[in-house]
Amino acid sequence: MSAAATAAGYLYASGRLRGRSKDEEPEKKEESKPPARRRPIRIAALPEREMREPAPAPRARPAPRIEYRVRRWRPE
Amino acid sequence: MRLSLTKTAVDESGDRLLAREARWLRELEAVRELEGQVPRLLEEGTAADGRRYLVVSLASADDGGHAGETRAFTDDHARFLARLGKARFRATDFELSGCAEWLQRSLKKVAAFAAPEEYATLEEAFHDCETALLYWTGPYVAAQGDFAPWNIRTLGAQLFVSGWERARADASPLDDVLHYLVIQRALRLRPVTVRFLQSAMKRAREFALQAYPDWSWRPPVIGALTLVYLLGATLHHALERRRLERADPVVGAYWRLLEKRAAWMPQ
Repeated sequence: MSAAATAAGYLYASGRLRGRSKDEEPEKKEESKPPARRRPIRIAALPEREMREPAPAPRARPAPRIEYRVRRWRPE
Repeated sequence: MRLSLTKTAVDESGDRLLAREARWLRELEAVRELEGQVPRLLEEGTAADGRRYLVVSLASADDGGHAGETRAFTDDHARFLARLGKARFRATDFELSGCAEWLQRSLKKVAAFAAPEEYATLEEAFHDCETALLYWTGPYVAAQGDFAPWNIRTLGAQLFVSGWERARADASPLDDVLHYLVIQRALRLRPVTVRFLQSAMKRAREFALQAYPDWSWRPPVIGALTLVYLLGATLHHALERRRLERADPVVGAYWRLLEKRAAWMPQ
């Protein structure tokens, strides 16, 4: 068996099983600010890229193989 | 007045978990270094419906103060895990450890319901663990099994750790610390990126160097034990639900890391 989140973990993450935490940041009320003025979006046509050769396919990483087991020798 | 908690099973699997927890609490009671930091088993028995129940103590400070909670992995957490690890400790090779045996047994069980390509990924990941740990002898220790904020209360400089139904012996010495660091992020639906995992591995290495200074903690060993943790947690979820639920936030995040392990495992 290995470490795995229990049901308590899912409940905790959903906020339904949460005690007071030192790390909890206090909720801050956002001060009312006037809405920020957005800059108008500018779109420029990009120059055509030169045709390049397609990138070579990534070389498949050879899977490690163990052909025989090497065991450590230990004195009796 | 001290408080206690009664846990009652509702089905057979609950019975097994409570039986397991009772065994572990009895064992941990004998570990002097953990006194006051784990629940005491006050009572166990069978309820009227035939299901098992346990009564365990809860966290309480000697001065009557309240137990707190934190999400950070602090020195107190490291100290607790080091003490727990030494309570049941065995130095061995990965292939001979209970950890590897459990992974192999679980892989066989998962083969019954996983898709072939999913099984292949899991099997290759296990093979990579074996390869990377082939020449490493290290400590295999007692692990809590779900070492996370929901099972931990802070009592001043000490922790109180509950939820021992998933504890086990002969576990990877990094399982609990990695679980603490990674599971919270996965459950909060934040991306568990390669970069995040590498920072968790760095923290785990710092813990290992401090807790088990007599052993070698080269980056490839840390990487291999991280893979052991991710693989183990994925298999655990799969076995519980009898399927690989990649839509689950934890399984999904861990699965992506298993697939992308070449990106974060040190060579």
